[in-house]
Amino acid sequence: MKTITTAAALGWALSSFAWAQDSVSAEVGRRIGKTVSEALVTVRVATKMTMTFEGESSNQERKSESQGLVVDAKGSTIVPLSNLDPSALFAAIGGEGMSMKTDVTDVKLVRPDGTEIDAKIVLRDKDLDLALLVPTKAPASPMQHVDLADAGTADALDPVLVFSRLGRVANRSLYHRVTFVGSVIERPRKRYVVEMGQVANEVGSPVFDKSGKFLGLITLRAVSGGTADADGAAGRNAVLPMVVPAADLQRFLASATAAAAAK
Amino acid sequence: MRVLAPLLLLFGFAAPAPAQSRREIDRAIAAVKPALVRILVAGVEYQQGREQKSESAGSGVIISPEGYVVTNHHVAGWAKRMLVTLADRTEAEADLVGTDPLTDISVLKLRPRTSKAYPFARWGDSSKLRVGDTVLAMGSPLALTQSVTQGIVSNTAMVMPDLLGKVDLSLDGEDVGSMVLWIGHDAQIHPGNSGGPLVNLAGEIVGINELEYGLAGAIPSNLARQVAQSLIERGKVVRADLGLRVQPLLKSQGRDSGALVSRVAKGSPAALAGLLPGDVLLSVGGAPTTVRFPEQVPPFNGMVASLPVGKPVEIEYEREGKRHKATAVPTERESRLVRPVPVRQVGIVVQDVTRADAEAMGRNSTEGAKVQSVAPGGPGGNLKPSLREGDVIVAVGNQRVRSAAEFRAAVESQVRPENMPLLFSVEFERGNEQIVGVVRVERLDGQDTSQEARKAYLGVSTQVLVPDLAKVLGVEGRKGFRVTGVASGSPAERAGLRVGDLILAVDDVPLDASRPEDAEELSETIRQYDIGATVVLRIWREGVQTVPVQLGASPLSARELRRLREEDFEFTVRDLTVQDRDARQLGGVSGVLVEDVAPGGWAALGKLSSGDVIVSVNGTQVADVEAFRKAMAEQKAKKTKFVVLRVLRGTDELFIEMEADWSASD
Repeated sequence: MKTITTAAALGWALSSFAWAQDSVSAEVGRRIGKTVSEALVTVRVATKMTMTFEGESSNQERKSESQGLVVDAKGSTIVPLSNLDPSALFAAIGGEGMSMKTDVTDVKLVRPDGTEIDAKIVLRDKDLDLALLVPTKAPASPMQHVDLADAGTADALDPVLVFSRLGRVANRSLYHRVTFVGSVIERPRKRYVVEMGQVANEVGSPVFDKSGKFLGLITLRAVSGGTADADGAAGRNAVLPMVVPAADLQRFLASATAAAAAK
Repeated sequence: MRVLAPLLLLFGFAAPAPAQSRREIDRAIAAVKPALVRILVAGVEYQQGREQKSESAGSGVIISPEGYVVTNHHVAGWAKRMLVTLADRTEAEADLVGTDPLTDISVLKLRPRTSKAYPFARWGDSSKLRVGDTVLAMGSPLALTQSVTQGIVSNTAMVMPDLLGKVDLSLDGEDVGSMVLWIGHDAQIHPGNSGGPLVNLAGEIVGINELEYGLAGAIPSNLARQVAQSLIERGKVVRADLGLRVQPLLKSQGRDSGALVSRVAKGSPAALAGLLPGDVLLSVGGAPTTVRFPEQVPPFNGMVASLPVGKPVEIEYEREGKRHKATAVPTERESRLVRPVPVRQVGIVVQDVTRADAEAMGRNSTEGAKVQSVAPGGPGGNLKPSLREGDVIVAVGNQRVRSAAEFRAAVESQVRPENMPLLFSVEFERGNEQIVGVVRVERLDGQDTSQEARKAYLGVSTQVLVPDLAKVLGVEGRKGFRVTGVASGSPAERAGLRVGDLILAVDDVPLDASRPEDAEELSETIRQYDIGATVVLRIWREGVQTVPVQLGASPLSARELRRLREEDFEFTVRDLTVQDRDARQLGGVSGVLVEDVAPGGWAALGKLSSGDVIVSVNGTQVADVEAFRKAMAEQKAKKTKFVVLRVLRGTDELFIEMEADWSASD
């Protein structure tokens, strides 16, 4: 019986995968992939973290890599804030009497050819889990980017394309994946939930609809309080990767421009 | 009670000690306890490419009227500052005189006091101890005030067992068990007892407590005294070295005298004399040598260490059944204790290469700076390939580097603010490879000055109006939020919102919150508006009402506020946020929030804690970071000996006294 059930589940999974595959043209995927290939960069950061527990502090330094999406020719790059600075996430899900303070001391954008560009964080948005990075020096030539204005939309069970930058072990190659929208959340703000892949870390991955329009960026949404799930307090009941729609990213970018002007 | 009864039996019905024994114990305690000290240590550790402070506590005993104190190396060997509590509860600062990781003994000197000489305890002869003798362990277990426990000597020649796997008792590269045969005893000791005296009934120090491994273990006084004397006289212990290691004879050798040579160091006196591993050592300097058991290894090592350095010594040994004689000239044994050198500009810690290091690495030279640790995001960590622990740096640019100090000097000569950004090459050895990397120093210390996205802000904290709550509040069927707090000075407060109001709709759009997971609907809704926009809230307060609210901008987050690093006392403060004020119910009280306190700094020693709110400095009110900066600058200008902070901690209020050492910013 167990075998039959497993086989049936596997058959369903394969058929749904095939269905999702069939609904997106591989040609469209590869075309988008060419643009994304240059715009999806590795973000390398060095951070100093201070953990405080019941008044006692301890420090640690770490270096980490994630991915970011270049969104204009000047090299402005949007990245999930939690990838750079986990303290906001920690504040939502951390334990009683604990706090974390993070100082990002060094940020580099690493292009697919290995070129490193020094960058700095100019704006953070804890609600959207977004940070905006800009190069400290203007790039010598316009950078290839994803146009946030060329935005698409999707509904539940629509197929979508997810792109990720693999790590050093895979020569920082671009990873293409077709999946589908599992949920469209309307309140309190629109988000899409897509099935996450197993091969690459997809937090920070851009998502495109089946016609190749930009749908949004995967970030983490965390809520504090509430009840623990089977994974514990910090499980999927409290934190989940979700796609922030392109419109929100555009507003975020615009607010950075406004903040810079106000400064 | 059932659990307590056996304890009561033990304590209540134990036969009283004979009167004479009790008098002896009292006399012994009276002889030593006045000299017993608790040592609070602010020490340093080196990891992740930088120096990090730590705090710990141990015990010690004063051994002279001038205030020399004996303790363990693992208590005081890495101390930067020491504060000693004497038996009469007074405190004194102490300085490290010398330290010996091989025997785990350190000597400190209390800073002189004008009133009187220090009380001190006398050494006893540890060789006279017998199994079964009553002993007293004195010290500060778990940093408690001076305490005494009683036991008997269980073992006069304790070694660590290797039956259950090798027990590692190495300190800073030195194998303590190669030199020390511990006195095992059953007087209770705990962390914090380290360095405290083991005392006989004559009131004499017969050991220095060091470890607990089922039984407690103390370093015999005869060894501790000799080491302490050497540290006081020379600041170090001079030991002879032949460069050989022995192990107990093998059973298959079928002999009961001699010592089996297991290792001969390359180029050592023993090697130059022609000794080889496998030889059986018969005598050294005319003294017969016998090592049949592990307990005989430390005395053998002690005998070798006591040979006169530079004076030829005759060695008799047996090889393949034939006796041989050779002459070796002992050299001074090199200490394995090397002080790491942090090189902040490139984010690495280096140390000198010892002879033992060089031998382990297969190098012929001790020149270079060995990498002890690397800060992951620092210039050293960003080198390609990244520097890592164990690499030996041999050049900076064209300049050869022979020591850790030379490396730091070479880096400091290059890395100056006016040279930024800077590139320079570093040549280093990794195993058999010779690697050249380029260090890129962009700035001396990166600073994150990013802003938070400003959003529309109402300034209330809320709870979801779940169905049961709605029913109890008499608004069954309604959805929305109950106001649980109104932030001081917020748009909500200006609009007259109160705790207990129910918010049901925003601009006529009903809120749909009825489950805990809807908790963010209101704040998310508000954040959709422009800053400055006016929204109309439909609320329930003894009936439905409408309240117009002009939304403000979200307040600055904690990380955007002004902050100040107090370098002399090693803590950071920042301005208070509205949330800080509300959470602590500060009302109109002003101050600065302590964000972090570095372990081992004067602030930490004064027990300042992160989360404290400082409201005054030596009586001067401090409303914000700028006022705090000025107040501290005044104290510094006056070189005040003590800085007293008035602090709010939760609902408590207290004074924190910090002892000042202004040298950090001089």
